[in-house]
Amino acid sequence: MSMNDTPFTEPQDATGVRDRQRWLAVLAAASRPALLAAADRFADLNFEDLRAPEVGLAMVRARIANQGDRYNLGEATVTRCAQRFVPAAGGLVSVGVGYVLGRDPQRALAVARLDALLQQPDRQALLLREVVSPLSAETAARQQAQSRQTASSRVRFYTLDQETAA
Amino acid sequence: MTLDDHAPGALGSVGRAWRRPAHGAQQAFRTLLQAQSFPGRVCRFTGDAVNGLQPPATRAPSAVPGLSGMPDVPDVPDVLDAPALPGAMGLAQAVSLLTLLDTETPLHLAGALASAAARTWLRFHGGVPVTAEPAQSAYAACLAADCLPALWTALAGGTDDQPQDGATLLIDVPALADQAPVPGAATLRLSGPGIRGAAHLAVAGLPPAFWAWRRSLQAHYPCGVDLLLSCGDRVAAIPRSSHITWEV
Repeated sequence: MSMNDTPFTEPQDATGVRDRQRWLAVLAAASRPALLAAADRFADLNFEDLRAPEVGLAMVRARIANQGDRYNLGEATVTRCAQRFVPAAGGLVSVGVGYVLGRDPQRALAVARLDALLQQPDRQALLLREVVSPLSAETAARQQAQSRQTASSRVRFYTLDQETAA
Repeated sequence: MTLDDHAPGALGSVGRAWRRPAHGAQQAFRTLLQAQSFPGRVCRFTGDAVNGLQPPATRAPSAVPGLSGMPDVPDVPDVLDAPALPGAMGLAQAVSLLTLLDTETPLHLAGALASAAARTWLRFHGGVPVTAEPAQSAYAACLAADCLPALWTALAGGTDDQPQDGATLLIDVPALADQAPVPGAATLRLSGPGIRGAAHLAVAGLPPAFWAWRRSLQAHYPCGVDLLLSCGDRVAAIPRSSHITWEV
C-alpha cells in the first residue's frame, strides 16, 4: 500500500499528524454525554476490535516550572482502545486509536471510532464540522466557566509576592 | 508506542491478538510453563490461549515447509475461529512470542519471519522491540529452514555471573512428536532436570550440525541457549539444563 492510496490512514506529513493530534485532543477532553452522542450516530457502521478497550496505568512525568529534571508525578489511570473501520463500499481501511484519562471503556471506544472515521477522506470535512468543532467549543466554554469560578475565589498573598520578588 | 513506529497503512491489515487477553496470556503461559517443566514433552495451546488470535504473515509464503508427512496432525481446536493463513507465522510460535515478550525483551526475527507484518503485529500487541542483530536479542525466532549456523552461533549464551542473559531460540519445525518416531526426523533422547529417566522427542527439519552445536553448549552450563520448538498449535521445550543425544 503506497502513500498515495492512503492519504489519511497514517498521516506521515507534519500537517496530517498535527490535524490528527488536534482532533484526538479535542475528543479526549470532550464531555462524556456529548462524545457518546456523537459516536452513537455511527454505531451501525462496520468497526472491528483491533484492541478492545482496556484499562491501564500511565506514568505522568513533570518538571517544576518547566525547568530542571523530569520526575515521576504519579500514575494515572488510562483507558485505551484501537478500532479498525472497514468501509462497506470498499475503499481504504483506517485504524483509530482512543486514549482517555480514567476508567471509561465507552469513551475510549467512541474516541477510537471517531478517529478512524476522521481518517476517511470522504467523511473528514463533515465530521470536523459537525463533531469536532462543537465538542471543541463546548470544552472551551466549560473550561472558561471553570476558570471564572475559580478566579472568583482567588486569594492574593501580597506578602509572599513581595518576598519572592525580592 | 507512537504512530511513527508503523509504516503507512500497516495497522490497516494487522491481525488481532487474543479475544480475551488476560485469559489468553494466562493459559498460554501455563502451557509454556508446563512445556519448560517437562523438557521434551509436547504441549498444546487450546481454548483462550489461541481464541481469536491471528498470527502475522511471514515474508515468503512459499518458504514455509509443508505439513505433509506429519504423523500426528492435531485437530484444529473448536474455539479457533481465526485459522492461520497459508504463509502465516505458526500459531504456537506466535502465541509463545506474544506471551513471553514485552518492551524489555529485544527479539530477532530471522529469514522468512522477518516480515513487516510480524514486526508490526508484535510491536502493536506486545510493544516488542525487534532487532536486526541476533547477538543483542533476548529471544530469536525462525523457521527450521532458516535456522543456520550464522544465527545460532551469534546468540548470547550469558556469562557465569549472569547466565540469565542467555537467549531463547524459538524454531517452528515441520514435525514434532514425543510419542512415536517420525520418518526422516531426528529422534532426540533427553535427560536431566524434569525428566524421569529419559524422554524422546522427534524433531524434523533441523540439521545434525544444529544438534551438535546444542550438545556442545552443555559443557558451558549454566550458560547456554534455551530452545522452544513449535509445530502448528503445539510446543516443546529443550531448556539448557537438558542433556541430549540424537539419531537421524
